[in-house]
Amino acid sequence: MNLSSNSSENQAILKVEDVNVFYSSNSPAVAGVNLEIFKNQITAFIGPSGCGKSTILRCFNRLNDLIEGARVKGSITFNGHNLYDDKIDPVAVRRHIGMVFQRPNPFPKSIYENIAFGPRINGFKGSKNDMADLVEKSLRSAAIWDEVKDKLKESGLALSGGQQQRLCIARAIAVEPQVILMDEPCSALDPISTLRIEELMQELKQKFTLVIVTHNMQQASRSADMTAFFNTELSDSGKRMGKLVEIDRTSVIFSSPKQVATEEYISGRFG
Amino acid sequence: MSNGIDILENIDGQSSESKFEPKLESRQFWGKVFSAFCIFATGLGLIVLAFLIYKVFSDGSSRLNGDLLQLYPSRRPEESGYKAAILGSIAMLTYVLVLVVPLGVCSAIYLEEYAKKNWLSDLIELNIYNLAGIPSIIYGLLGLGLFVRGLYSGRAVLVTGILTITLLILPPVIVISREAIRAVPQSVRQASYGVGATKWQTIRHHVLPSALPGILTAVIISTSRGIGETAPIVVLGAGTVLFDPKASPINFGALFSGNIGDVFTDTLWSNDNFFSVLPYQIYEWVGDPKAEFQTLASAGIIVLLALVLGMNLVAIFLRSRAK
Repeated sequence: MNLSSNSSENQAILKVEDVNVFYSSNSPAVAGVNLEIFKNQITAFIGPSGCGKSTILRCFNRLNDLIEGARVKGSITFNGHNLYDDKIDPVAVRRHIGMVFQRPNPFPKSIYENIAFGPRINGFKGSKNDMADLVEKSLRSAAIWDEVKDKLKESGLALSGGQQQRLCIARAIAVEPQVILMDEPCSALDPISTLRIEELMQELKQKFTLVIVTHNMQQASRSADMTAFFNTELSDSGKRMGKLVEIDRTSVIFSSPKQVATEEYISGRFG
Repeated sequence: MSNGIDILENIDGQSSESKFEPKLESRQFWGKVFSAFCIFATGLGLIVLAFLIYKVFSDGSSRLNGDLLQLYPSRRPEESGYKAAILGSIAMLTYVLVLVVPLGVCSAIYLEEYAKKNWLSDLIELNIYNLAGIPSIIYGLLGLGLFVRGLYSGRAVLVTGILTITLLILPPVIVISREAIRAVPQSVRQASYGVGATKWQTIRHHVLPSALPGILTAVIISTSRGIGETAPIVVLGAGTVLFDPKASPINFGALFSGNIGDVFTDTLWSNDNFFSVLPYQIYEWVGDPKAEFQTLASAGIIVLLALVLGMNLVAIFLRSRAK
């Protein structure tokens, strides 16, 4: 397997084709999205509030299924499998495509249990020692092991916000996903914690594929290999809906975007 | 600020032209009035409770001895005790808990976690809230029709009492448990689904443990009330009994001696398993003109109080362990 980030561009791990997402009404919240997510890259979704970037992100691990009335039209394939096929159990999808949320949300349990829960419920076959190793490995991968190794039995909620978020990343890593989705992972954190998460993302992309929603354009330009710009439009019936405006290499999006709307957004003229 | 003068406003030198009239003194005053009322309200409850306990103890302490727990009711007050009633109340408490915990908690989980929100779920919700407010005597009539007449052809046995009290306290258990389940943050559920947990695993490992203190409160408060209910028991037609209730669900003696045909004779289910409970026995004696019986009633109230407070202590202990 090729671990370098820029030579794997032809390997699309996720493919979104003509996707429309509806929330309990007949007009889509986000419509006509086509894009590809490449393996071992960081793809950033940027755009103003309500543009549907989080909605699309939550389609990847079928988290929208939990919202009553939410429907997805079109196809999203993961390694060639249609995630919305009737034969696919969303529970299985979520082990392969993990998620880190906007607000750090550790379980109100010990640090150790926060990590061990995922492997355990997914039928981890190892011994007790193997589990301890997996917990350590996950915490190391999330660059938080040194801070918590002496207090694994303490509550995850006792950690600082930035530590909690890295704990949540470790929790996602523990079930060995291929893709990690991050929904504004730094918006509740201070600048130093944010920087640590960004550094961590660069390490994580060696092993995982990352998709990140962010309101912070510097974050996208610093971290992402690919950037997708979403915007809101008025539909024919006068309702607001999200659209993918363009997706390209981050350097292209931030220096010479093809669409005027992208240019205006990244230069801060609106949004 | 306690002197009510806004120094900062005066320094400004423009107080006469200010658009604001702070009235600090009166704003702080109303805050004090409110907190004083809150202290009064809390104190009032405590004083009433203390007075009640004092009165009951001073009336009933002369009968508070071992006889009280060992004797059956009699026409002579000095030979009367609460043995049958205490055992009846404990048996009822046990079986009510056995029924109400799974039924109440699972109903609450279903309504909160599984049920689709539509007109039917709204209707069910409205009805459960209404049921929680129906007077207990109505449940007595329901139990009389359904269980005493329907199941036991007119005999008010222990099972009919258990089922009636269970029906009576199910609605409040469901309502309060739902509040506890609803208070579990959505972010915890999402985190659990996010690592590939199923709905059941999410409920089992995250929702229920987080909601447990609230659910315990629901069960304990409701069961304490149910165990002190007199009206529905009166309506069922339960009376004073001179023997212990049969509380075992199967006859172990018959089971172990191989008398399989007799495993249900002389058990909880028997149609001669008449019963009494503490509040009913107290009600009987408190209305008796003899002063000795009223002393006995006061002693019974102390026992009932001890039973309910004991239950609350267990609940506080469990709740502190659950946190």
